[in-house]
Amino acid sequence: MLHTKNRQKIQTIGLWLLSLCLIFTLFGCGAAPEPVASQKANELASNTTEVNPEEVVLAAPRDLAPGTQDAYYTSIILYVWEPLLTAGEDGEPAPKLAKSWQMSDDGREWTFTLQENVLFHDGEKLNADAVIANFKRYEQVSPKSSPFYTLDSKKSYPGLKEIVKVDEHTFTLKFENPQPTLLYAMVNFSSPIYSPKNFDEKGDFNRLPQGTGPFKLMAHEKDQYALLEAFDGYYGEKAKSKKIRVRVIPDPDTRLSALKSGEIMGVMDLGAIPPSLAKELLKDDRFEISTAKSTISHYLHPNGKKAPFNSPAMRKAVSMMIDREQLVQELYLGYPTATANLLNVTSPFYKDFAIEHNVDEAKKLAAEALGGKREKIDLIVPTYGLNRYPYKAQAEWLQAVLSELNLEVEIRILDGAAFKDAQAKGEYHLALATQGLPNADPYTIFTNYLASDGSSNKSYSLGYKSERVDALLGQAKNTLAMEERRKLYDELQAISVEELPTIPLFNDASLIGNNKKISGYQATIYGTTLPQLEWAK
Amino acid sequence: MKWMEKEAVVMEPLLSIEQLTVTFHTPKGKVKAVDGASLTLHQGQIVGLIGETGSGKSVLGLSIPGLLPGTAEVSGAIRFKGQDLLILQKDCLRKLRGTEIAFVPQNPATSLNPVMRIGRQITEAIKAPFSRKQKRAIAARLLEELNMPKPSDTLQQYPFQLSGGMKQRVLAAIGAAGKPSLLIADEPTKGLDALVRDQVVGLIRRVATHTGAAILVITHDLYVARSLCDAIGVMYAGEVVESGSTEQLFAQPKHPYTSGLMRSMPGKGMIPIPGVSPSLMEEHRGCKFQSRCSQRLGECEWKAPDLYALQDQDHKVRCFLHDSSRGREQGVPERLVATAEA
Amino acid sequence: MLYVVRRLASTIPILIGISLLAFLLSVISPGDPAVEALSMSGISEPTEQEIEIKREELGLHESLPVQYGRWLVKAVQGDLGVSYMTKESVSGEIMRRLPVTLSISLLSVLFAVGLGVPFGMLMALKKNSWLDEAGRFLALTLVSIPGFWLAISLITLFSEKLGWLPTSGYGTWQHLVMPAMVLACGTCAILMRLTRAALMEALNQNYILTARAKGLREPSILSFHALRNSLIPLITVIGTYFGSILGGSVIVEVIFALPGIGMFAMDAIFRRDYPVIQGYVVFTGVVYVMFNLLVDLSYAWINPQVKLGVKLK
Repeated sequence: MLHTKNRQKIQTIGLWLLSLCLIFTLFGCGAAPEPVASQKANELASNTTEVNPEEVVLAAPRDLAPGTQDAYYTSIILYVWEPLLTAGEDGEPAPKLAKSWQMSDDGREWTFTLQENVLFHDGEKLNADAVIANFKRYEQVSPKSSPFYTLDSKKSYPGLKEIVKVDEHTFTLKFENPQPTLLYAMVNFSSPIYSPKNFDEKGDFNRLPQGTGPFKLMAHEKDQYALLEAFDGYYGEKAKSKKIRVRVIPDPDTRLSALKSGEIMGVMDLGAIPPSLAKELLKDDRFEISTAKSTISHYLHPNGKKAPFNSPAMRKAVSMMIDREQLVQELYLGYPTATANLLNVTSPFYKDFAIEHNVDEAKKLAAEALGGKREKIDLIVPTYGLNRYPYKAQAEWLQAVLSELNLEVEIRILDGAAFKDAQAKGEYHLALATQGLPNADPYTIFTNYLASDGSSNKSYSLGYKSERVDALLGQAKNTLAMEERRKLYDELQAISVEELPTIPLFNDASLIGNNKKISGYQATIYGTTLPQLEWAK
Repeated sequence: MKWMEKEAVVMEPLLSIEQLTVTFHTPKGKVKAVDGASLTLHQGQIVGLIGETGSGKSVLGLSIPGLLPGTAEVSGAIRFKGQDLLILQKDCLRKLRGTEIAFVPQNPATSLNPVMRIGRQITEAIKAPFSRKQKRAIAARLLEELNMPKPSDTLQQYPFQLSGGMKQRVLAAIGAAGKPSLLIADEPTKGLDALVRDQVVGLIRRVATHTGAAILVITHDLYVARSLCDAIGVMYAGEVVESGSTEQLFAQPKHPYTSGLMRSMPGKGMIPIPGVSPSLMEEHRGCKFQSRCSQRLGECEWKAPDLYALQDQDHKVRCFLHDSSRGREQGVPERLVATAEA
Repeated sequence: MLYVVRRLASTIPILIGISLLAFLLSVISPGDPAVEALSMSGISEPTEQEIEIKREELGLHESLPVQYGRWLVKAVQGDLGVSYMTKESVSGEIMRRLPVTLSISLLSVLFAVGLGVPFGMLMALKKNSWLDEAGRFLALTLVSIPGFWLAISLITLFSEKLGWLPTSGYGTWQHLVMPAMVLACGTCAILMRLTRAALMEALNQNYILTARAKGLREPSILSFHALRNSLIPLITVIGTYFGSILGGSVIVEVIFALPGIGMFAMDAIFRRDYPVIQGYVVFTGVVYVMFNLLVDLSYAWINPQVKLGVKLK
């Protein structure tokens, strides 16, 4: 080829490259939307996407209605089914379908009185017979795993001997052993009540769920959407929206785009809107964010079975070194609250403990524990955390922080199953993990983590053993009076803060975002105020 | 069938090529493949164009129906039935192809579409508005005329199932299908053994007889030219260096190149012509053959000879040796006129 | 006919081979399906006893050959088993998701072929012109663009800013446009270049001269003579492309919220759901083998030399 032709070629290519880059920078990088122009476009969008003015469309990262094979059919946050007891604002058990209760003096019998005039979606009445049928189902299918919660009557109702119908609206649960904390165990996912005609002989759902909630599940396409309709026969305050469609959009960026384009009015469920995207959403004043305390806490699990974290001093050093406030502010935009307590803040037994943050002290302890040497350790991160939380940035931040303690951290990202495997086999040093509060009564979580044979203790290779703790737990088990128990729990919390079987980082916050075109939509501890959602006036 | 009858003989030449020059623009430079060549063809004549590889004969053949690639620059005139094809509209020229002017390409092995049935490849060339069935009948009959065994079976077959000779017949059928007035056969016997070569010669004769078309046979095979053609033109380095009736040329070749060619034939001694043919990229001042010519004169090096007619007006030679006015008088270059055979 | 039967029969050992391979890879990777099944909620850790019970329930306590053998016996009868996690039927789930994957795949092939081949033809015809240069540059760009970036950019442009298309979901043809564009991107580029090359080569052949000599119109020559001869490499690419995207595409499915087969398989791999993994492998194996067979059969149809062999008269 002649030289001039080559130069022409290069020029042509260069021009094309340039113009393409320009085009893509303009559109692809998602610059802050110009208010007027894009507003018009979005109005057009909401008109052209056939929005039923009666139907509100929301989105969630996962399918909130897994279906007939699931223990619950739908998550509780869809308000299709209701439990006997729910959690109050203070975390204490509060009445729902059971309006009042009484414990026998020996703690072996609990009598419940049901709400009156409550109907299931299929027209059946809520009465003692219906409840007993549900309890029979629990026993039949337990343990039944579900993406929301494992339904296990052996754990929630240990030693349940007999259920007795007292009258139309009253029933009694009789136990082998005293159950002073039964109420805490019964809250939400442990006592879902459906129509007795809703199950087949195996205890699986035979059709759409027929609960007592303010919403009926009208239709659902697996992994696509769940369509809710207000239930006219609801015994309490009826839902304010006639129809709500909850779509499934797994990718957080796509959810954000859907919000911005007006396709959806709001988001729900865990990880609905990661903090970084929340920040972006707030730049546009068409949207608002609400937060609430969450039952989820974040931890840094140390492998207590081998060096260097078999040394409590080393664990203490790490805990003192980490500036939790900075972490919460920088990476999570200040929504969560830092904590050094193993117990999540939503538990009514939660006590506030001061967080020790002392860099010099930390360095001293570390130097002693390591004998002045530099130690190589690894930090494992689960892949499911990467999308929902800024775990990558968090891991890198920890890496930087811990290097000042003479710890050379190697970050390893593992998929969920490999992560659990590494933890169980003790093939790691530090792990980033979350934990949802299983039971408002902290006995469960203390047992799991602090008892020498606790399931989490073992599964995470925490290697924690304390005779004092085992004794306290044994004592708590047999303590009937809640006041006494509370004192034991206080001590257990104090021990967890001091001895650090695991290193708590912060209590997460539920983040919900929505378009201001709807109102009454707020985040709650678990879920949202879905029945109060309505079109803004 | 009308198209099988012999057409009446006319005095006006069917095809008249005047001072044709074809230059190719390549990355390495300009290549003059044909340099001022002239040629005439009358109805019903079979004219041969002989020369070695690179003489420009195939290019000349391709230029008539306008089948040269886009990089070719063509000047001069090609008059067909009075009309200059070089200034004709592209689409009009296309309409002439296959109907009035047929071109049968070299290399039967690769000149047929390997994934199309023979029948279709022949009927494609029949432009007249017959039905499909009729066209197939015509095709079968064509093949029969050309001595193809089992013609109707052949229509269903694919090229790879036919032998070389059969493929050649198909190509000939394609050429004849459109009832052309002029058929150009490019190297019809190249690469074929003696037996098949004779068959092809017979084939071409048959086509000529049945269609009454004028045929331009382009070949390097002197034997074929002798047995088939009425008149012959000899090309060298893009020029016509000698032309005349077959008899004259073979009995008394006048141009040193032509005599050299005759001597190189197997029957005449197989004496090769020394030297190599000149580059077509450089401009030459004198005669293009002079460097290899045993009879060259002094002026041959820097002066190019024109075509001079001999006593027998039909026989023309491009050589100073046969300049009718001995000495330096310029002979008027005359067109090559071949008389019609009785 | 016999040829087809023989080919189909030979797929059985292939399917057994790949399912066995999938099984082996699953069991050697760290992670326990029983633990995964019990910790779906991520709230409580199962105790060792519970894990043991689950392992028995899922048949994981048996030896590996027994486990695989059990699966194989049921599989040859058409029963692909149930998921360890959801207890739903594997074949049922695949069938449920198939229409989604199928519709995107069909549209993708349409885009890739409908845009790639004509453009490639244009490029071949206008060889070395500015159009040809632009086409080559475009092809290079398309093949280099990462899928997820393109997906996000398209959503930002067409959904957020312009509001012409929905961001995600499944239901109308509008939902399929952007995912299909993303999927078709790379192959469109490949087809462009391939068509250009194949067509250029075909146009260089001697039989094109014959066709021109017949006085045929350029479009006829292009379609009947040149294109038909360039089909074989094109069909190969299109056939195998279609076969492979029928296995689903995870990136596109996640970003566009399409419940297709790709995500299904991905989740199963993460959760060590062996029956689903093996069922998926068998399904995609069957699909791929069938498409390969179709491609081979089409060769025979296009190029008679393949079908009839070299049969001299």
